[in-house]
Amino acid sequence: MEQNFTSIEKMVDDESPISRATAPAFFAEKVMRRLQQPKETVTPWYHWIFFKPALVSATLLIFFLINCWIIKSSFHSSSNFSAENTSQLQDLSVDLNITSENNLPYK
Amino acid sequence: MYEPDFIAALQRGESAAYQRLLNETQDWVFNTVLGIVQDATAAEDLAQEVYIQVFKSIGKFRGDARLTTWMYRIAIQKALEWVRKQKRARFWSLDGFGGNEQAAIHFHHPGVQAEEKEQAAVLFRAVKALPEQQRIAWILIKTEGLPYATVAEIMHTTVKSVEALMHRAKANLKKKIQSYYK
Repeated sequence: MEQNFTSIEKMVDDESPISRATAPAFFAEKVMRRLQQPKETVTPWYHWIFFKPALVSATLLIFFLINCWIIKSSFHSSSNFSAENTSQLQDLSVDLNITSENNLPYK
Repeated sequence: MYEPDFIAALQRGESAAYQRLLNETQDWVFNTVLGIVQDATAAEDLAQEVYIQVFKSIGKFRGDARLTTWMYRIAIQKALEWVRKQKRARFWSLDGFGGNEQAAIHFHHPGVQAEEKEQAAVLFRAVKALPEQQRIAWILIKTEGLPYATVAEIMHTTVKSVEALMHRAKANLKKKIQSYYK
């Protein structure tokens, strides 16, 4: 134990270098191969800032337009009463004796 | 010291120049990165990345410093980034509660002779715990054998500062090794 401690302390104090590892086998070849690989396409920084919100906005706009179209078409169908339909309804209210006066719940 | 013609060939992207630079510098690039990260597999990947970075940004190399100094800086930066990333990952994982401490002590530097391996493992564990600047100074001087003036140039500092860093590093290492054997 004491011997180990002394030898490590000597390693620390000694001015000469303690070790020198060499690069692994085929290191240069691996680097050259990596260099010859086609460059990775990097997504530009502005892509996520501009493109993503634009995509989300466009989707929301499409949903909004579809909703508008649905609401508009339902309005259109409800206001499509002809004069004939109106008079038929008036006749029906006369038959049933429905007037605005006796239709009131309280007098 | 590399001649301007060779640097110009690198900047033109000549394959022969790349090959020459690789052959002449791969050992010290790997050794420097290994000394900092203390993981042979990671050191090989990082050393490869150092060269990718060197070849990618050689066009921006203005020659203010020597090519080797510039490469040392890239190697140190890459290695330190990896160490910081590992620290962050350990902090957020359960291994942070002592799991990797065991792995650290089993690091055997491939350059160390067999009879000194155990002592070197203890020493490298203590080196890993040194503050960043002291660790870099110690690795460049003790495992790379670089002169103080070159280390000062690499670290953008003065020779006096490197001497002070080494003095503090040695004192810290002795303290840590002493506490390990107690």
